[in-house]
Amino acid sequence: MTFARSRSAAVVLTVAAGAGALVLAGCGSSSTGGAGSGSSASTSSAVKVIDIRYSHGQITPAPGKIEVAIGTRVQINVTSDVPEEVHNHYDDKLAEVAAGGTAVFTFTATQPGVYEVELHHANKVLMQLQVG
Amino acid sequence: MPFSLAVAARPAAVLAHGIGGRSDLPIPFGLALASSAFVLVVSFAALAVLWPRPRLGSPTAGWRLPAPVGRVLDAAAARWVVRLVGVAFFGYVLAATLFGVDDAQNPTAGVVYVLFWVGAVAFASAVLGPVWRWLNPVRTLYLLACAVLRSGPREGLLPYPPRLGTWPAAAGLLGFAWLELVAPQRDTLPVLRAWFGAYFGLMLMGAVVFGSTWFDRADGFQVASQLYGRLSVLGRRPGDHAWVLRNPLDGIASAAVLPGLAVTVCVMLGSTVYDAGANSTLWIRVEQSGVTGIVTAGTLGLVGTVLLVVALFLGAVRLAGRLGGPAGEAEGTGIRALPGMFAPSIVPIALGYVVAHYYSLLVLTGQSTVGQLADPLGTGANLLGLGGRPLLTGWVQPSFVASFQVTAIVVGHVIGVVVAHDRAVGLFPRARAVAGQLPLLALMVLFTISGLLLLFAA
Repeated sequence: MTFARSRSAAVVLTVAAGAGALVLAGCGSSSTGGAGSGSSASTSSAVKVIDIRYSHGQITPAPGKIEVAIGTRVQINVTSDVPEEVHNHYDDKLAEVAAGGTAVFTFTATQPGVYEVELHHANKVLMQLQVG
Repeated sequence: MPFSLAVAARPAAVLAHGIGGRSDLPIPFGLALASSAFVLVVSFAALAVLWPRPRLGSPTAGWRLPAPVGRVLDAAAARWVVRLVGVAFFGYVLAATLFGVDDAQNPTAGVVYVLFWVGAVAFASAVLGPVWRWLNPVRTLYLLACAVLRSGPREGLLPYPPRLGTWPAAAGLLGFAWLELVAPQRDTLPVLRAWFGAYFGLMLMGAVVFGSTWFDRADGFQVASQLYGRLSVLGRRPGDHAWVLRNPLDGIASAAVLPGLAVTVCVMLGSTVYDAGANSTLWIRVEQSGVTGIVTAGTLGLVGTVLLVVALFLGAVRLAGRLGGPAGEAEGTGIRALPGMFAPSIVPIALGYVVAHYYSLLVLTGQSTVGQLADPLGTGANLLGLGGRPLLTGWVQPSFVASFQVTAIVVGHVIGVVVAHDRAVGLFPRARAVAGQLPLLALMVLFTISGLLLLFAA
């Protein structure tokens, strides 16, 4: 008796947890979807230019997240005072930079996610591009 | 005078930093908050409504599969087909590792870090059972050698020391996590070749010395695969070893408790927690601050996170033993056995973290790795026409991924709470069982809400 009741309690609990999580998730994501599509409409025509300087081992501005809406045209300029290899994970492109040179990446951000831009030789993350 | 260089057109290493260089969008704050509140309510409601005597892991639990199905699953021929598939696939990948071009198109890194580690050891094991036990090419080669030499595979030169338990597995899993998350040049062929050599050498030598028990307890991948496999609905029940469809809670509750198990599951959870946190802006700035080298910082971060998880778990279990009273003396288990007894309840939480953190990686990088497998030697081949296909992104739409991540973490938490409850009522006197559950319950809530916050913040 106890057995049957207790077991069904556990089943109810587990199912409720799963269902609750899905319902919660549904609520949350629908509201973001609305916000995301709204902001992308207003910024889709502009080009977002991001300048990053790597000098004396320091990254300016300090590595952080830069958010762009889906559909944004993005230009990332990376200047380095040492020879480097810059890796943009958004479209998986590599660029070699000579000392004092600048690598330029231009692309349209369409795939949602958070992407790193990093230096291969120094093994440092320059920034994270948040698309969406 | 700065001058511009055109962006080189050659594709880059996909696994240049951590795994993938891509992570999911943060989940919405409202979702993180609401699901955290939900976790709190469900956890404490569980104390009130769950059964007062242990119910899980009964020897007769599960629905027995029809005898012919069991016979097929147990057939030596079926076993060997699966094993030889593992050997053939490994041989194919090894060709790319040894003779392929060391560039971003080589499939080895994607196979090791994504298809094998995330796909086989975690996801496939949770669905089907201990797949790495079935597929491990080293184990198969060892079994073949035993068959040729007509020696029993379980018999080594020495018996496997019982006190060793899964400690070697814990060390191996921590070492692999370091390789995956910290090691420099981890996606290059020389590093991957060295790792293949080390894994092969250690596994084979251990098996020769200790027999096939070595794989069951000392191979971190098989131990992890077995633990996640306990959450599969397909498995053998403890009583008569019959194949059954079972409640995953019965599966994980009947996991064998061995020395070192608690630390092993803490490594599994802690390394994923570290990876989740390592993507945060805060950690990137700390790691790159120049106080230590990047590899040193990463090593300290990984080991520190694992040690923190171990300390929190051992502390919670010790407190549970004190509050719960003379633990399990009836069953001949003292307070020192408690961490191992409660360790299985951490497995679903670890799996929830893994699913939440690596699902989109498995979908996206898994696809690109399959494409790379079409051209293992970098000769421009396109075997089976698998290469050059655009990635399907329908399964990684942000709203779906966010729901899936939160669901995985919350369901893992609820299973963990129920399994820990069942253990507690079996170990502690009835009057003190509720008090005895509180420390571990609080720790699980902490792990889960941290997981949700990392999804929001990282």
